[in-house]
Parts: sequence; structure tokens; C-alpha cells
Amino acid sequence: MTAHPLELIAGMDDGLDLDQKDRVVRHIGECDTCRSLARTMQRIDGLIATPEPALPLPERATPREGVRVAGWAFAFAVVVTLVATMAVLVGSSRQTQVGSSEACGVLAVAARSAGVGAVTARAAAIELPASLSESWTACANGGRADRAGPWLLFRSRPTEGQEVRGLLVALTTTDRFAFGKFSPASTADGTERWISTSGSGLGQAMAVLADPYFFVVTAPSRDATERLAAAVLAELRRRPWPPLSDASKTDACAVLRRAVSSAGLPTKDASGSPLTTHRHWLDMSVPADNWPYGHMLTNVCGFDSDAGLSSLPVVALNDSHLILREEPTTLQQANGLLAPLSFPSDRTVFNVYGWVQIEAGMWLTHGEDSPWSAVAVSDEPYFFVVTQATDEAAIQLARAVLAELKRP
Amino acid sequence: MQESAAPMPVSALHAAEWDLAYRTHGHALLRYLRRLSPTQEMAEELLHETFARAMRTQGPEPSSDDIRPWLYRIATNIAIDQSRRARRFRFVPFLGIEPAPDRDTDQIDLVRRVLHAMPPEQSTALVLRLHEGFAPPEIAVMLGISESAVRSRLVRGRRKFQETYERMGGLL
Repeated sequence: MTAHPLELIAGMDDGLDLDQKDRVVRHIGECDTCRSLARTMQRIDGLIATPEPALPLPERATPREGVRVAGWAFAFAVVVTLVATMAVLVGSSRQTQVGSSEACGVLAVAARSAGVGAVTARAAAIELPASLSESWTACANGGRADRAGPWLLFRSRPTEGQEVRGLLVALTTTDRFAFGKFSPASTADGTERWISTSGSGLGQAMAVLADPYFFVVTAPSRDATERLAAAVLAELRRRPWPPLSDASKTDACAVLRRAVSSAGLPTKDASGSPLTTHRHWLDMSVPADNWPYGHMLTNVCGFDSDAGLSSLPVVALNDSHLILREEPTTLQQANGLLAPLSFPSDRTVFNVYGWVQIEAGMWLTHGEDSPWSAVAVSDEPYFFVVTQATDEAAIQLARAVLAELKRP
Repeated sequence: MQESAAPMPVSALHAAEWDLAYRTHGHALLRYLRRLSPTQEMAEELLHETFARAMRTQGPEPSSDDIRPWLYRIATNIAIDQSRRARRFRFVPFLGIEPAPDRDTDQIDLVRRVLHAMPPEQSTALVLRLHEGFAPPEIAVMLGISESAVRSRLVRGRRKFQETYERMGGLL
């Protein structure tokens, strides 16, 4: 045995044989240093073993069984879809805003179809605080604002993805709702959703961005809220309003979705599950003044396999990501934005090796601690950064993003 | 035990069995994941993903005796994966209103933060051993590694915990 059997002391309770344990115990009895180490190890074990306080088990969203669709039903659906599409195309030229009576109509139908709230209840408009009334309209089941859902808050004007963060802040800080914090929720239908982590008497809230619409629904439980959101979307698709388009030229998620597709980059993960976009707002704890990317904070999107983990504040950069600057940016400004960045490890945001120019207006760099590549592109007025697993894929994605931005 | 990527159809009966498994094992798994996560929201999301992944992949029947270690295995893989990602890039989902810190929970919060800052292979081994009470041979089967590798992770983990705990201001 060595003079101080430190390894054995540190693992004394992990299954040493009796002989080893006996020798360690005898050594500890004679050695102050090792006795102190053993006490420290016991203290560490005690800290880690301290039980976590009991936590309420969150409600689990129940997967639903697939529905078998008969051939005639499929044909019928095709016809209905064609008719609805025609109606949408005709209607889109007439309707640019959604008023309260229209939103209430959507809620009434959606609540019935989702089985949320009383079947016979009618939705009626409710008054909103002055800070929201200009651009929002709201309805409650039965027109009563003092009961737990369902509610529908509908943005009455088209909404771009990069506006969402500000809108969620406005909703969260409005005393009337007390929605609590919104976190991203998984979707696989091309929309983006955020779920409130706590609710007031209004129940669980979910915000949905379905270009060009943005709305918030509330219901008594998460499952009911998800059903209601899906029913509202179905109703929006059915109505002769501007169609769901996903055509934004400046929204990072919309651009990224199209660019990944046109670049031929993977749209499914290794297990065949579809990748989806996740909107991110970079860590605001880093003072924007000290961070050249501060102006791009609200327009960041990932196209990745984080489904189910999307509310986590972390992302793997070897998937496709796009950080798109909203302001017009000159080449000179872009050069200034590409300064190497480094922060203390507990506040790491975007640590990279130095940028290397690979052609006019295009720079390449690599992650500091893992295999991912980033390409920055300046092509006035555009400036953006993409990430991917390899140099080739990152360059391919960057070219596809630029083509999307420049598409007439 | 290996996770298979093949998707698994979920029948109504199967869904009911998974509901029961969630109610039976969910609380313990949530506490395990909470110990490894800096926030409760993250622990809940990891729990949600654990069951989602368990239902998607081919493993033990939800009513079998083997389901507990299987769920711990999936939860551990997800927690390790999440921790590795956290080291690469950090986003916040939304700058909402955070609750004020509770002094009574400072100590437990510090332990969580220390574990989260450690190499995830070490922190998960420590928590499985000390918080969840699994023996090294059980952890070895669960993680698909040898017993000696488990013991090595535990020894190195305790040392790393000490170093990180003291660096973060804790007193042992």
C-alpha cells in the first residue's frame, strides 16, 4: 500500500474488498492527512446524498394513436383542401387584419372541436389593457374574464418571428394575465410554440407563431391547451384569411428552413425524426455593449434535433443555425463585428478561434471545444453567421441562406 | 441494454401502461434530474424527454421490472448530452421574471451547480450512487460500462466535486 492510499479512501464506500478496506481503515487511524481526507469525502457524500425536495410531477402530454384514413376520405380531404385553398387565395386580398368578432368566432369553433370548455358556451370579446389593445384582440369562453379558460389572445396584425420576444415580454409583464415565463415547446408542424411555466387563474398558456399569425391560448391543462392551439390553427387554415405562408424575408427561422431545404442538408435526424426550427434569444446576461453581436440577439434560429429539449437553454452548434442581423450592415461594419470573442467560462456565449477570410465577404471559424464550423457572410446590406458540423456544410448553408435573402 | 433507434408504435393499451410507469417512476426520476439540473424547468423538460424517448425506442415493457434501470439509463444519457451541449453554447429561452433566491435552498442550489459544472460522466455516476442509492454493479449495467470504470468515475468525481465546490465558494 502506498504511503497515502488516496484513491482507496475516495472510493472506500464503493465496494472495496474486505482486505483493502481493513488496510485503509488502519491507515486512517494512524494518518492525520488521510483522516482529514476521509472526513472530506464523507462530507461530499453527504452533500450529494441530501434528498431533493419533493416536486410535483408535471402533467405528461399523452401521445395519440395514429388515425387510419380511408381512400375516399383522403380524396374528400384533397377536394376540401383545394376548395379551401381557393377560398384562401380569394380571401387573402380582402383581409389584412383580424378583429375581435372574428377571433371570437375562431375560439368558439376551436374550443368545441378541442373539447375544451363548455360545449354550449359562446366566446365573447373582453377588454384588454391599453398597452395591448392597439395590436391585440381577446376573447374568453362565455365572455367572462374571471374563469379558467379557454381564452384566445390574437395579434390583430401580421407578426414576424423576430417580434415574438418583445411580445412575450409585454404579455408576461402585464398584470392582467400573470402568465409567468414562456419557454419554447416542441412542434413538428412548421409552427413555433412557447408554453408558460406557470399560470394564473387562466390556466396553462401557449403562444403560437404561425406566419403571419401570432396568438396565445389558455386552457386548464397543458394537454387541453395543446389541443386548443391545434384546433385554432386548423380553424385559421380553414378560414378565407391570409394563408399561413412561412415566407418572411427577414426572419431567421423562415430563412433557415428554406435554406436547409434548398442546400440539401439533412431534414431528419439519425432516427428519422424530422428536425425542426427552434428560435433562440441569446443570453442577455452578457452586456450588449460589450458584445458585438448584441444587435442580432432577437433573430437567431436553430434547425436541429432538440425536439423535446427545446426549452433547454442550450444548443449544439453542429446542427444548422442562423444568426441574422436585422439592420443593414456594410462590409466595414461586418469586419468590426467579427472581432474574436472570449468571455469567462461561466458566461461563455460564443467562443471561437479567429475568423479566416476564405473569399470576399466570407469568413470561416471553428468551435473552440467541439467539432462545429461557423461561416460569416457580409453581402451588403446582409450580414449573418451560420453554423454546421463541417466546413463544407457550413459554407453550403451560408450560400443557400444568401440565395434565399437575395431571392426576389 | 442498448437504446434502439427504431420507432415504436404506441397503442392505447401501451399508452396506459406508460402513464402508469410515469406515475410510478416519475417522481424519483424528477428528483434525480433535478439534482443534475440548474433549474426545475430543465429537470421537467429532461423528464418529459426521458419518457418520450423511452416510448419511441424498443426497450423493456413499461410494466416490467427492468423498466426502472432502463429509464434511469435514458435519463442519464439525456442529462449527459444536455450537459455537453451546455458547454458549447448557451442560450436562454426567454428572459422572464425569475423568482427571488430562497436562502434555505442556497446550499442545495450550490450542490446542483457544482454537479452541473462537473464532467457529466462523473456527476451522473455520483448522483446515481449517492442520491439514488444504486450499487456500482447496477450502475455499470445501467451505463453499459465496467464496474471498475464506475468506481473510477466515482473516485475522480468526488475529487472534482471537492475542487469545484471550493472554487464556487463552498466550505467543506
